[in-house]
Amino acid sequence: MYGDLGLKLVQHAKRTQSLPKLPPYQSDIVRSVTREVRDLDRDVTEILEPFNGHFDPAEEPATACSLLVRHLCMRRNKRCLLAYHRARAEMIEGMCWSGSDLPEQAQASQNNMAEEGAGIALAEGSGVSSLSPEEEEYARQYEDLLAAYKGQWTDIDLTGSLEPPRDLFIDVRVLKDAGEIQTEYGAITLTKNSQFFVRQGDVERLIAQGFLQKLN
Amino acid sequence: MYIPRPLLSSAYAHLKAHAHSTNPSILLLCALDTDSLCAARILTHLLKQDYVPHKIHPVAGYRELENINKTLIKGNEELRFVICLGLGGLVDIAAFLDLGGGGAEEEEEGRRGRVECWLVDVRRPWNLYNVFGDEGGKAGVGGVKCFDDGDIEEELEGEGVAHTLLSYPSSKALASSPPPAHSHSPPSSPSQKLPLPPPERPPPSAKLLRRKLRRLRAKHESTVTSYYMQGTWYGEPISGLLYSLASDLGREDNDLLWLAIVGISSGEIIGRGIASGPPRKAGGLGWVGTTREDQIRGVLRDEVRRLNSPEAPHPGSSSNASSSSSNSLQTTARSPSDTAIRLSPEYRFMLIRHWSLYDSMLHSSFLGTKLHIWSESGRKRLHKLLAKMGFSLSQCKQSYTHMDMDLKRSLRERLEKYAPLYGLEGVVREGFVRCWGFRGCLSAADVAYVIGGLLEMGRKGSNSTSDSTTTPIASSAGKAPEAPVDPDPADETRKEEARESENWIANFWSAYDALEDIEALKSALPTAMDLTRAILRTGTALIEKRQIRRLRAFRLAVVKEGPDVSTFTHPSALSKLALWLGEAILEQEKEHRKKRHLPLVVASLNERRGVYVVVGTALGTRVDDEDAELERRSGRNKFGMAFQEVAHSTNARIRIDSFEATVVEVRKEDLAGFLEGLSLKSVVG
Repeated sequence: MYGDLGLKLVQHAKRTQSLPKLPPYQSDIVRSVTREVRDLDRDVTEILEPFNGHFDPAEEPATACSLLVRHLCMRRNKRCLLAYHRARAEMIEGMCWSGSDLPEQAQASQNNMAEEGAGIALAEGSGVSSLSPEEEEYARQYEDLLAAYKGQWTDIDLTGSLEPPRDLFIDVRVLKDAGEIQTEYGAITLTKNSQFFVRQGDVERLIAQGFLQKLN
Repeated sequence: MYIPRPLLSSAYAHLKAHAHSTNPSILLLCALDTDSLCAARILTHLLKQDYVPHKIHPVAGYRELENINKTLIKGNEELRFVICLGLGGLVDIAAFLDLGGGGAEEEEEGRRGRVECWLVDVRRPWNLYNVFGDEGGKAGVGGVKCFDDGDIEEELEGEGVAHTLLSYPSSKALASSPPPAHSHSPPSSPSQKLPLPPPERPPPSAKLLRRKLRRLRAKHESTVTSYYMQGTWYGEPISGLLYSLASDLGREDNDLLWLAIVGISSGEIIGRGIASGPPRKAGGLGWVGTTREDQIRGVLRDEVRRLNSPEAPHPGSSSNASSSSSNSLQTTARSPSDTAIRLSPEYRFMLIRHWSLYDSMLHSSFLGTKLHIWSESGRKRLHKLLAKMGFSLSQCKQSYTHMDMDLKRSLRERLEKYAPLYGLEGVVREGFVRCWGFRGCLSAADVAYVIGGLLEMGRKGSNSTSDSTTTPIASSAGKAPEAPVDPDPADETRKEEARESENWIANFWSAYDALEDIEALKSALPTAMDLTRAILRTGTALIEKRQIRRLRAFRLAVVKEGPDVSTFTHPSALSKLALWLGEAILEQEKEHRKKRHLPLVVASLNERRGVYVVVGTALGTRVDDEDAELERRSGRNKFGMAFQEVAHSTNARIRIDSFEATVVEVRKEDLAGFLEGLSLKSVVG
């Protein structure tokens, strides 16, 4: 049926909104939807061909109706595509703001793909390279924009958390070995399976990156 | 050096003054047991209130301690304090950890200071090097400091003098003595810091003087040796010690008190009877009891009364309720915000509030061993007891909260009436209960059981995930025998060890979280029940099948089959089993009127790594006959030394890694040789 695939895409978009991570780009469905639109367009041209540009809907209501249905289907598909991409783009922007290193991940997976061929990269990096090439480009450029914007005010971290800290010090537990990190007042060695009571400001970045888990 | 009890608060002030205010300069090393866990919680509470950044690192064994030394302590410029909770008391800690700081910058020492190490440990005997060594660091930061619960102050005077004279050349002629033979270090450890061999001093002219000195030296040596030769025993639980630090600082509150109570109750569960002596003479305790254990309980009781206002009689409504609750166990809070700790009668069956009366009685080690629950007649005896009390079995098998109100009310009275018929005196005693609003009510002993269960078995959910992660490994291990060219078996076992300690540490954190999270505690209740079920099942099987062999110097039980083998790969789970078995045997022997009881050795197979975990327990801690002094000595466990000696004398492949001296790991093939060696040791008997 016309529009089935579009619906699927919208459902994906809806689900994406509640996921913590961006799921892989549904290039198959997107391609099928565009193909459907193209098919519909061809149908319309074929139907209109015999009339040589002098089509009067009042004379042939049946043809007019089928044209209308096809047109509406095309428009709906377009809206579905737009909605899907918009949802993803918003999510990417959100990730840029929250500072998760999404372009780097995407780049890494791209390098993988270049080195080892698409098949292997798909197998091992399916979780990582969830962006389409266009989206990657978008993310990169958005990052650049953001960086330029932030660069105007060096003394404020615009991407920092908006919630005021409740405590100066917090408890964090180390999930991954992060090695030694430099803070304002010296170095901290973060080893797995230990718990720290440290200044929140020192470790905020690491919490965002998933090295540390904040307790309570 | 050591910090006597009254000076704990000034030691804390010293810590606060010298710790870095923004960077974690304090490293808390915490052993994997409930008491240390509670102690760590208490200490971190204090540090947090002062905004002192710190770091907690759980440590499973000596090997890991070395790793930590390498990665975190050696050359760590920021580090000022290492606080060992529940570990390190038996060894010369200065030999283990690089406390000197960066290394070659001796000249910088004045500026930067050294790392100071606090030892807070229940295990005795103290390594005298920790207690009496290194007096130099008094003024600044540095050196090893032991928290003294009173043992050192009251009992170690003679040993202290002897040790100082022997190892420090202040009195020159005595300096030439070797240290006592039983330095309690695991063989795998870096060589103990021994004093240098006797520097041949030109003899003082008079021969007589020399002989006198030699005699003096022999005397001191024997003092020190006899201190070490007593075996191992336990002092006051460290959570209690840290609680007294908190109360010295005036910062005690219900949370800390609860932690201390849980820590102390846990000691009773795993058989760490406080066997270190008669009640303290003096000090801040000010409570006179007949034993030290009573004394500690008395102090806790006073603290509970002090911090929790007595029941404010609500007009009208509660007069009825409170009178009934004084008889039956409290299972619900009085009000949604009720988080008080209360004194309440406590039966010596665990988890009764969350189990059925029958199960709870059946699985209790106190009741089970006295009633000979492992045999059919024992179970009948339990049924008969219940019948005499007028409790129908169908009622007893319901969960306790749903039992008849009348029965619940009369439980204590009837139990006290009929228990003596079965030799169950003291089945009811004073305990502590805490409520968390309407979310739940747990007694201290129950919490200790649950935390112990979490430490040993892990959270249910995480267990299954860890199983799923380990299954590929297990299957690969299953494949390995087909292709015996295993790349490197040593490597494989090391990996297995790492995985095991990884698991233990994950368990540590879930226990750490559960300690202050009632929901997590409640969800872990089944774990504790599983553990007690496993103990009963395995213990029954061992006794029924007569698998406890009697050797010349000790009894031996080996767990190598059955559904619960994997449970008992954890040393403290195995210790609990050993305790259960020990009590059972003791009861049996009492019936046969035996005076002398052989100690018990329990070994359990860890199939994954191909080793046996061996635990030695001394029986007869609770026999109350003859001289008190004698009994006290007999409560001390001599297996620690025996294990060391066997490790030296046979060439069995043995690893002493646990902080518990009485736990040892022996390679599967070498168990027979090890036991043979052990049976030759007269120390054990």
